[in-house]
Amino acid sequence: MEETKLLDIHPDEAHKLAFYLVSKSIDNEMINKYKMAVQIKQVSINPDEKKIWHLMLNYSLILASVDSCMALINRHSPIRQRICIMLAILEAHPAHITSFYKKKLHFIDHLNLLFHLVISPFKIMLGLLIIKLS
Amino acid sequence: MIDFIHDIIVVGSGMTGAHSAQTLVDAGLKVCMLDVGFKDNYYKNIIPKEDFCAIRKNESNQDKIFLGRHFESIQLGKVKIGAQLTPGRSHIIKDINKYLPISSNNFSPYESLAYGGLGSGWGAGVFTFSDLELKAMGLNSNELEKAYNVINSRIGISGNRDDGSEYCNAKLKNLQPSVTLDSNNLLIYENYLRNKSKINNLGIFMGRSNLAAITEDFNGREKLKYREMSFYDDHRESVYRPWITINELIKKNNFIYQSATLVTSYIEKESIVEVHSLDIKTNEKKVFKCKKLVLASGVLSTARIVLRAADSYQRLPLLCNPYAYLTAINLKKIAGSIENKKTSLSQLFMFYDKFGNNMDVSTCSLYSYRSLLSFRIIKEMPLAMKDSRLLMRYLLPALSIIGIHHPERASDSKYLFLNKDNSRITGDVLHINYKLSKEEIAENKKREWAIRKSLFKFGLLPLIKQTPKMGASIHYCGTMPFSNIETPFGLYSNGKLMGSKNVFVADGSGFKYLPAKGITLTLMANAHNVASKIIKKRGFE
Repeated sequence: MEETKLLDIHPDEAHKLAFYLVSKSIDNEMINKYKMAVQIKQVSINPDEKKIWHLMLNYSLILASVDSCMALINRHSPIRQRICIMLAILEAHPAHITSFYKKKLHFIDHLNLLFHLVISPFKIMLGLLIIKLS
Repeated sequence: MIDFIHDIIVVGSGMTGAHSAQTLVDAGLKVCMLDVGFKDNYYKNIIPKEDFCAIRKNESNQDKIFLGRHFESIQLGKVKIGAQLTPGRSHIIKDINKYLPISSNNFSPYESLAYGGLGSGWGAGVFTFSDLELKAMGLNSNELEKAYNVINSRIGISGNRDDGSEYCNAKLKNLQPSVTLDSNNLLIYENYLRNKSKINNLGIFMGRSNLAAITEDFNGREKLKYREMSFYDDHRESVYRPWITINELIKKNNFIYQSATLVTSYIEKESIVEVHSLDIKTNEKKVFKCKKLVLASGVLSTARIVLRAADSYQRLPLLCNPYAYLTAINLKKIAGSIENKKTSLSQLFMFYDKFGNNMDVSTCSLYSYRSLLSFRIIKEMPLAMKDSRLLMRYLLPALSIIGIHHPERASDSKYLFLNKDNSRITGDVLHINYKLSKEEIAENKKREWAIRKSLFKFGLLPLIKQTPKMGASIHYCGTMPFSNIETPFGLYSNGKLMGSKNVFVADGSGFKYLPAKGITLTLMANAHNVASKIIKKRGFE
């Protein structure tokens, strides 16, 4: 039996990640699910990444930038794993179904995607800079 | 100690156990099946009968269905084998590390102690093999053809007579209509028909899938309802599972199903075989007696039992299909509409017949992707999770997952052996070494490249290729190859273990060659043949 330790989970972590991923708030039930999943999966942030993780949770631009950069350089890092847990929990909830499947995509959806893809290289560069500096 | 002597003991409740047992029971023999038999008693009760879209829309507790009550379906890190193993199927691999320990640096196999074995999570792809393939495996083509049809009459197979027939259903007489294609696969198939001659010139042929999924009601089972939940539950039993057969056998007087029993070894004593086992509930050792023992516990487990019985640490060969999968995009379906009714099973088969002789064929199964949820793919994309999520809404209707299997032959660098390890319940651990040669790796890459190149003609844009660790194909065979010469741990063509009097092997241990096409139908057919030969030889007929 593997030993499980109580992990350090920032009180606003679930809320911030959810808002970053789907631009919507989540209820307490989902926050608890996130905390439980992180605990069960034992996704602990490495000591050398803690500083950057706290920065990410405080500034949404840094969250988006570091996520973009890590998708290229360290896709399966604990930071990305925590974001992935939130994403999975959001996807498996009926309130967020349109964030993942949409019967018909509208012009505004096209613009939204285009905007995010266009700024993606800038986010990657900013993320790289933040990671190097921290 | 149980002194009752059974006519036959069958070990294992998977595909080969179920079909050897059925043949023996139908002949009136008294059969006892020994099996651990883990079942899912949780998820089957919480999964609604609605289709995937309705569940996604309405079910507030869907995280338990799709992610699992312990979030077991959120697989972090690099893609591992069994990523498709959903919470409802997690019992299939329950306690395998405890009871079936394996040590390997380069091989990650799947084994099962579940009721129905690995067949409980089978993708239902059905393939008949060509005469050349059967010969290379050490099987008799005429016998197999008859057995294929016996199995078809038991399980029900849907398929189509088309360009794929030669590779998957030429030897089957009656087929139910094939499953209806969703719009994504329909477009791919139409492109194939349009560019057929060019694609065929590359050695590539396509047909609609041949599946053990019924499209017409059959033997009390109801036809496929296109709920897209086949990876999660067994609603109306429309997809065949071995436990369906065992549930029927249990109703008969000459069949006993003994669960919670892990067979560890056996001793032959003149005309009796003593089967040694561990009761996993009480941890007591138990002995069962029989006139004939049929080992059908899967290639790796059977190897353990036979090696222990012989107290041998000899190396045995092992075969497993090299496997990779490609993610591709159907360009015309990007941002397309989303259908409510479709199947999550493979809808199209593609065959790369490099030499044009239906031998050494690489096989692809094409799946539309949705019911396993998109986060599994998003986490692998080279973009921020949010950006990937936005992009996935466009790509999801267009996504095709193409599983590629390659044929495989034995070599000195692919083997297993048993080693003592007193820290394990069974007192040993199975060591596996599986290394493809440079030439084999290069050949498989060439084949994958040829397949990848051809996808453009189907209107598909290939994106990422993933090559999981060897063992991921879940097709294993060849540990005790069929032989005409008396060799230790060889099998006679009737499945009898060389050097034994009354021990038979009904699983794929004897197959000397592993075609890339799924072996499940051939496993069932061979198990039926082994059982038929036991009946004939004993004069039970």
